[in-house]
Amino acid sequence: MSYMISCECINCSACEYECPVRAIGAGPSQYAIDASTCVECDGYFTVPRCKSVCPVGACGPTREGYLFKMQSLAQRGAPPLVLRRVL
Amino acid sequence: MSRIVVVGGGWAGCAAALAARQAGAEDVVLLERTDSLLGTGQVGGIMRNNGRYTAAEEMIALGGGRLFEVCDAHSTHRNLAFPGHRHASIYNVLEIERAVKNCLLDAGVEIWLQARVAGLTRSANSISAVSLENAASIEGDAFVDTTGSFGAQGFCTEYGNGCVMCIMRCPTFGPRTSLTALAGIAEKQGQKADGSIGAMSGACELAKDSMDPEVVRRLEEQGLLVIPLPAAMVNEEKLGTKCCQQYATADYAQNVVLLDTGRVKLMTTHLPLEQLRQVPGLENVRYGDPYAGTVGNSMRYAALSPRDDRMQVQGGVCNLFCGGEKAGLLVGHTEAMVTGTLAGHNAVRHARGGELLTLPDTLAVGDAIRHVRLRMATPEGMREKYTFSGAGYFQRMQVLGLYTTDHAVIAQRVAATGLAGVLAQPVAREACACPT
Repeated sequence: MSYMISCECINCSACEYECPVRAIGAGPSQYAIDASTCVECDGYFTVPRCKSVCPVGACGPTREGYLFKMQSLAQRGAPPLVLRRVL
Repeated sequence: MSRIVVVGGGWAGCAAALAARQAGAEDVVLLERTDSLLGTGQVGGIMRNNGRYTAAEEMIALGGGRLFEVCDAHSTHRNLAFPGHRHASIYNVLEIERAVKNCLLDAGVEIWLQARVAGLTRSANSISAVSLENAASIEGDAFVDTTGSFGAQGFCTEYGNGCVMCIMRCPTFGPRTSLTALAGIAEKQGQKADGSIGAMSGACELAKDSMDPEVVRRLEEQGLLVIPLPAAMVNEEKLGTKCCQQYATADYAQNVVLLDTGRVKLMTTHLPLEQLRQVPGLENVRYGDPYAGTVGNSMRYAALSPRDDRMQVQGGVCNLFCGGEKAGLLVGHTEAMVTGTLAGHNAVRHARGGELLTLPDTLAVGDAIRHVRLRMATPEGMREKYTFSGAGYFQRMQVLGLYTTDHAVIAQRVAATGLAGVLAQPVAREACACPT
């Protein structure tokens, strides 16, 4: 299996240098993991390095499904703030 | 009961929301992705320079001038001349967001912050609701797309120098969204003169407290400082990449041009910090915005909506309007306020079944809206930028005799159209013309 990088990627490149098997490189609009090279850090680290350094949480195992990984700010604890004058 | 939903709380969205209330909509909801209004307006400030003076006064005479008056009331400097520009006013970026927010709240606009639109619900030819990331659904009779045209990160990386952590804060609040795109309508992208996509935002902010106090004092007193760059640092090629072509003359390449906006505005797309620190007085300077001003700036004109001169978006939905950068290759707060105001006003006219308003081309604001649409239908036109304050459109204003700072002439011009004050008058309800 492999980890993957979702569209939340901000191209900071932190993951590229952390990968012990050099599976990550820059793509046309975001970074991407070569699925055939990634070993999910098995034998290298207990927590996959790319996931632990990603500042926006864009890195995750494909089996979780990146669509569910698209957490909104509301789910992270910041719901919309509604402002209106009380007249 | 008419409800107007405005998506995107920058200058255009604020203007649209205010205009919708002034047109009499009972319910106006403004949805903003980040934690504050105005977007790049928070790092902006330049008003009334060159043809923008005319545009501001025309809008005031048309009844759509309240936000211009808010900017005037919060100006750090007035009647300022800087390279290529005359009689500019600069609003205080530290005060303006609160002032605009209060203006909107006082007018009865409901503002939602940290409310990023992720989807919409529609019938065959109209939008019925938008939905937020937290799945809340907000219904409306008409919608205004004022989501801007910057980034998001992928666009800034592919066509610029990467995500520079600017005022737009995509990683924090989620990338820019587009109501036009969610409605399945194809958008256009702006180009530079060489045909490459996008244009880089043309200014940065420096942290005032990291500059020499004497330099700051002179800047605050005069409103602007023009400091020559050491010859080895001059890079004139960079000017071609700017979206703000009105600030793309050689003056800006050969000098560090600073404006006092309450913070310090540096009129260049970007400049390596080590070079900037060679300028006398800036030895310890730091960037305020964008954080990565050493390598680049945000990229704009990623997604422009097809629209007509009433700001109605074309392509399959009848109740979607657009303003600001969505409305075309228009650069500036003034331009955003003009198109946003018309979009908000016409959204109400549509919701009430009435005929939409077109601004006549005897006015600079009407001519600009039509002219930009016509130019954008041509390949060469897609490579230009349009602003009342410089480049080709300001020249056009002068040739057509539209440019003037004479308030009496402008009031007369607007009165002659029969539309004086029209944007401040509630719109009557007609039988609904548009089947949903």
